Amino acid sequence: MNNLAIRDYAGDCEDVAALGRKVWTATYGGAMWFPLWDAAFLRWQVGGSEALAPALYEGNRLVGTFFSVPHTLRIGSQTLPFGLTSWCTVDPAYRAGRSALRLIGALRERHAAHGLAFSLGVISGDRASLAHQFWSQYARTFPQDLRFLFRFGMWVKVLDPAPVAAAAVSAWERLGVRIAGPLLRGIPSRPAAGVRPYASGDLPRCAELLAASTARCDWALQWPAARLASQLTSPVSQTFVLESGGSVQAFVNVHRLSFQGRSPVRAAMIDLWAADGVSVAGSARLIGHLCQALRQDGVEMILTMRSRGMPSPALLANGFVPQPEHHHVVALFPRDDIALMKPKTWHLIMR
Amino acid sequence: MRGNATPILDLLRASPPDDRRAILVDFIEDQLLEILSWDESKREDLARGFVQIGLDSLMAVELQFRLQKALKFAPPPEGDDAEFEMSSASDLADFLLSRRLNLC
Repeated sequence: MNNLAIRDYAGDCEDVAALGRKVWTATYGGAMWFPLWDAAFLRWQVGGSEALAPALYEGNRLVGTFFSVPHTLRIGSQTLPFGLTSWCTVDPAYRAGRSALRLIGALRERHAAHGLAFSLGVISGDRASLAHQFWSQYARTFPQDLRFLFRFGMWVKVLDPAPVAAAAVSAWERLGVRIAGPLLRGIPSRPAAGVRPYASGDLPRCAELLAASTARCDWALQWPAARLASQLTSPVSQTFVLESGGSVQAFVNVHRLSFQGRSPVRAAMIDLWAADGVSVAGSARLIGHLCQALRQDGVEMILTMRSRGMPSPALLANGFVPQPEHHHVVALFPRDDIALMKPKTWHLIMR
Repeated sequence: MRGNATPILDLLRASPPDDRRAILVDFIEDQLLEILSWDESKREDLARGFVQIGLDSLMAVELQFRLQKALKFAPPPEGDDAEFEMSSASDLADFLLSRRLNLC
């Protein structure tokens, strides 16, 4: 315990994944759903030099993390540098050193040094969860440092009811998946016409579609070409485009990850959706194609954030079910609290 | 342990300067016993220091909140988390008396 030191993370992310899996499973296993980030996902997100990654070490052993990835957010007509923050994990054996507070302090220092106005993170789980208890107490004690901004829910599509029901964390959830799952698992059995995998030549058109689709959002993540290229195709993400008359009309982008309930479930998260003049039927075809491709790859559940930018009718048509607003977007400020109004419409990704 | 309802801040202000540290240490220990769900018999153990008694971040923030509320000092300015560097109730009492309450 005396050798504890915070320094910037350096490694291949295998230890970050192992730490998260161990700590989160011990803390929440069977009580709530949580993501099991693997090393490939973490390398994709925080493996580059951009990430702000204070980590707590005992000697050379990783015992805590709290990372943030700098992005740009458009708020109305103003753009601000900010961070998408996640992966706050401390080995329970090292919590007595107030390690989480030290990591928060270290990350805020790095945010300030990099000129980030604030960072956004997601707190999931009910009020009894350790994360909710800690962050709500933190916000109450340091209201100038942390603010709960707004809540959101998810869309969930069950592709394989049996493993999802087995992993469900409550009896009601299990019953719901068992009863409705077989009905909602239905998706088109043949590939949709006009849908194909993304190719690198589609990047400019996808960037154009995304910019147009998010232009009316109060808050919108900005996607420089290099970042969008990495988002659209990577070892853990994939994208499908809907083409008509030789032109890309829409695209949908997902990344793979596992979620843990009572047992792990292979899942995929839809991060990006953009379309231009596509009918509900066309949108539904593209989403249906995605569902089919993911099921063929062994994915058992698909999730996405319920935001105005997502194609609700197409999701409903493919058996996605809206979930209650159990997730909170919170802002952590490195310096002065800035006036962040709750947005009516937003385009963000969940990490 | 303080068994009456006199607000701690009034008590500190009304007390001779030499007594204030002991009164505040006692008050901080009262809070710690509640936060840790320990009974009075373990009060002496609190002197071992925050790490040794297992004060984690959630508990530390809870303690900070209780102290801010009872002692009526504002949340520390941005970047000043010196409270969390204190290693024991007596260190914290010294810090609060001099830096947050100006009661030294």
